[in-house]
Amino acid sequence: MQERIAILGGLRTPFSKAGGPLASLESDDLAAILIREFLFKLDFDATQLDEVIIGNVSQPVSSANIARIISRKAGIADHVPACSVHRNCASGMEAITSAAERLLLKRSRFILAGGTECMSRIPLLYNEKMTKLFADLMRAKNLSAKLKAMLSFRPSFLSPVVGIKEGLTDPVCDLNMGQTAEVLAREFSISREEQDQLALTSHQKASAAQARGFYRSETQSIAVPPKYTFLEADDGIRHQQNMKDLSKLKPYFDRDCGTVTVGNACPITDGAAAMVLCLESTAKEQGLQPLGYLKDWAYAGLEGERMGLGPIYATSKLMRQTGQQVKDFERIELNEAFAAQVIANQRAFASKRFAETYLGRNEALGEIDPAALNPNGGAIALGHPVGATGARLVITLLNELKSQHLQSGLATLCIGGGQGAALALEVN
Amino acid sequence: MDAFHLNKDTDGLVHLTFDLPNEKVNKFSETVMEEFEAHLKLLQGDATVKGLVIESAKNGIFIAGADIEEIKKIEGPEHARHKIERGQSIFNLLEKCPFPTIALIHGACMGGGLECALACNYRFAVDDPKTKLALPEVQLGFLPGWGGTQRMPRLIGLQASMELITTGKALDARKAYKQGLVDALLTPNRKQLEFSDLWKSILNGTFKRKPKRNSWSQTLLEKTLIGRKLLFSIAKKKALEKTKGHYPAVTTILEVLENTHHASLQEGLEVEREKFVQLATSTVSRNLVQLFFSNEAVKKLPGCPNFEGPVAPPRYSGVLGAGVMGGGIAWLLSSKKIPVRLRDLNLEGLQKGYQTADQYYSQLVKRRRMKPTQKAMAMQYISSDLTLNGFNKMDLVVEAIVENIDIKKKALTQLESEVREDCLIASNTSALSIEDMASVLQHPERFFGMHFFNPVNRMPLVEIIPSSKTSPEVLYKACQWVKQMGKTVVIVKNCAGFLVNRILLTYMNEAARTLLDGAEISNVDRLMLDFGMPMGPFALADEVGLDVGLHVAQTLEQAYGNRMQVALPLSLAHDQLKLLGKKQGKGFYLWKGKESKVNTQLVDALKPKVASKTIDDTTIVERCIMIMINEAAMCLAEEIVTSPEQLDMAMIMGTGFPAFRGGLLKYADQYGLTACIRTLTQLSQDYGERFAPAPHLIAMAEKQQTFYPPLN
Repeated sequence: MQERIAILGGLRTPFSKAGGPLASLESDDLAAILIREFLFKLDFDATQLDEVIIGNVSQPVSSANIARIISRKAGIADHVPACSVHRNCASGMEAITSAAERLLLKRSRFILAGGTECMSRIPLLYNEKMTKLFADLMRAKNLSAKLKAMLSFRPSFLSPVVGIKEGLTDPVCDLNMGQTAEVLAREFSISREEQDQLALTSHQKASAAQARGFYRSETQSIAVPPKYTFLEADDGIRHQQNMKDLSKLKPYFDRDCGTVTVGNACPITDGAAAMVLCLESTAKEQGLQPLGYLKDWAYAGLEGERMGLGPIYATSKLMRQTGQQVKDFERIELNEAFAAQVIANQRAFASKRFAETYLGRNEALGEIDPAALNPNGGAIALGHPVGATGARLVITLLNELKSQHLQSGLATLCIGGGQGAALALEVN
Repeated sequence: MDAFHLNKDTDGLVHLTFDLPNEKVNKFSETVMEEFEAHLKLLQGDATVKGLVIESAKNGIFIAGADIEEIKKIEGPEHARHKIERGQSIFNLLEKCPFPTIALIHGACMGGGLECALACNYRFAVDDPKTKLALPEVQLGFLPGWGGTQRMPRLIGLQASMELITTGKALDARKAYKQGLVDALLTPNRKQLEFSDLWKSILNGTFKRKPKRNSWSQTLLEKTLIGRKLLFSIAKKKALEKTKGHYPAVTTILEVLENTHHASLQEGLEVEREKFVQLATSTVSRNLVQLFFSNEAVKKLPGCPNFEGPVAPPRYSGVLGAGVMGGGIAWLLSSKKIPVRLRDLNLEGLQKGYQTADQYYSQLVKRRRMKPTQKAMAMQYISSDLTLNGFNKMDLVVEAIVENIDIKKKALTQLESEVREDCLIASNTSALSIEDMASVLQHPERFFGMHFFNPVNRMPLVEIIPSSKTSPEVLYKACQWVKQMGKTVVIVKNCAGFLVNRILLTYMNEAARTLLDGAEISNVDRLMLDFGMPMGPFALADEVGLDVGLHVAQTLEQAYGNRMQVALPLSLAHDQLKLLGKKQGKGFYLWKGKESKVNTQLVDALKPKVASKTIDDTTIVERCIMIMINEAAMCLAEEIVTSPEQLDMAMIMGTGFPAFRGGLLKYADQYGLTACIRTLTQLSQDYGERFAPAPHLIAMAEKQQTFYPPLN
């Protein structure tokens, strides 16, 4: 097994529902503010950084290679190279594991890794017809050519392409993310009530965690322009959530006979998270106190239609690598993209038939202890800024393990397009 | 003298290189002009000369203009007329050369230097940040007298010329090219090669100037009689609004441009000449010329220890107290790409700091001096915290917290335990004692006062106040850093109020006292605006905040006693009526946005305290100005600053005291020191002992001295 990767602290912004306070900051500005603060809090000499790797899905056009722009806006020196990574919902984890690979190759000693997303600002685009009109106009060399281009206009040209809709739709299987959740709801016979119940639990756990200050140490207050009021905590948690309110919602992705609603799905969110990584031996040598360690990781692929099962595929692969059992993971952060998808994973983990059919195993992977799963709430309450979540799960997991004096945990995500990511983490 | 070198190349092109010996800049003094004329006459008589290119050997300077020392020494109208005649005729000679003449401009090309270039057939500019073209004569109270008002409009049109000549603003090479002031751009590294290609094209007639394309509005406004009348009447109106008639050069320039644009060059030059003579011999112009020299003197940082070597800017900086001043200082530091960390007691406090910095950046974006993306980048340099986390990295920390000596002392002690030993610590206090604050520090040698003025983005002055323990190295570093940030430093000896506020408060108190003698708030403000202050004293009090102002006034009363007694209206407004000023919407005025009207509640509350007498306008102004002169004399005697130039520059830059009056002490000189003493004595009999003439004033008058050396 390779050497463990030390995670030297982790910090994130509050997660805020799209259209809320964080909509005023582009994802690079948000991440830069966070990282500048993070480096102060860590008391880490930024000149020691060898690289910056940031996960981001929407890749705003004004920030080509957003990691580089973030790095320089955060005050990290010009000589530190940076690159941006993209593995859909696991982009935050991709940043961490890419960093791990480079550390193990000994190409870098300290890497800043993280993720950021401002889903509020994913743009509307001119459709193909309108874009062609603009191109024709620009190419036109005389007045008559210009006129011809302009006269080709039809009102339908103004119908925009909605960036976020496109981004959340898998063009290969032609399903959007919510629709893949419906697929799993059917495959695993998950009822509307069960999904709403999980959603409710997520809000309740998150609310309790926020109330007892669990999230305070990992969250950096952000002054948001134009008034620079400080956003101090995640604002998506519904502290008064109840089954009645959840039951009132109509299914969103399948209007006719679906079960997935906006209430039992994670909201569109803005946020960023970051951490500094080095080899365990480097941390020891420098007398640093890591927040925790990355033991191993795995990515797995599956059909896009059932992408929600990504966690079980990836975890199975991870367990083969490390030899761990499900019960060895004392806490599990399994991203709540959709309640249906979480429940599907729970049932699949416990099912011998699933393991035999899909994982090439003789026994069920192992039932997940409900007390160990997402004990402080999940994305349904906190939100899922797609580029950042992977990093947040790692930070939250390590903080939870530390606070409960536990040792070993699993952070795992389903990935749009049909993948899963699983990271094995340890505290000491 | 050999100010010029000549070199004729094989094509017959003469390179006339201007390199004034023993000077950093090229300037047209009388002797240089004579030499220039002699060279021109020789070249004109030489049939082998095919062309002339005028260049400079100075780094960053083409020709900086006429010699201002000589202008200062102009004795009277005849002398001025002679200077102008000479310059005009020499540049006419240049214009009439029988071969093409080219000005190769690399660096500053100002005033007479630009007028020389305008008399050439072609102007080529090197695209380099150092290249700047301007006619800044208006800033010295006169106008371009060597053909600038005639040749510039014929080249780039009336509107553009009006703007450039009345403001004196500088164009960089590209803008000059776009406006047609310059005919071609050269790149710095290839300028000789590119020039020689251009010269060849001039020789064979293929050189094409940029076609002047007038916009519709330009044609309408400039080429028709009605258009021009409209253009000039609007320009005159705007000029009067801005200058309030105090700066005659601006309106005179417009007159000259209007009256001569259709005239022949000769007629135009005559008008230009006479108007120059009129302006250059005026008091306003003399005052502005003096201020030019005072500014140069102040830029040399008198009182600053004489160390050598470059000083690197701070790598990290911090600001304690994120109010309007803290936020403004953070704006300044971040605008110079210095990371700055705001620290305050609560998030609302930090918010105010961010908002202030954001506001100043937004103003730049609105005026198109900055793009929104640049603003976002600049704001990134500002971070914040409720703790002192990160302060161990600081090279400079400025405290701008509430004006309470105990709170400040506590904060400084706490700060010192976090910062490195060699971190510089400065206080932005307006009135508290630097010496007292230094006493609580373990390492007071790195501590000093650094007093910014509100608003930080627009006020160029910074008072630096060393304590007795401040080390010379620290003082030098501090002065260099402030200079790098683009502000003007005046080193001030520690006393309550330092220099500017100490003098200003006497004026504020006095203005308030006139109310008790029957003066009216709006009238006093109007009188002081007419005098030339940018804002009336009561509008200023509201702007600063009555709580802030009162606090300073009380501190000064404690330090200086009776003559600085807090005027009753100030304490009544704040303590009794709980008025705070503009931030609250009510003070001496009631404020609604930019609109204001006198606060009748305050007027009524003051009525019982008003003595039943009247006071005339002249006395009001005398009281307000003389009290300042008196205090200024005391400051000089106590060596709070070491020269009248510093004092006047500080008052102009820190309070907007009218520059056209040359400054507070220049005004006193012009009023006459004996007359000042007479007026002060009368005022002390009528209004109180505080007007008793300062001993320093009396001593100077007895010895027939003046603050400034007399003109010739």
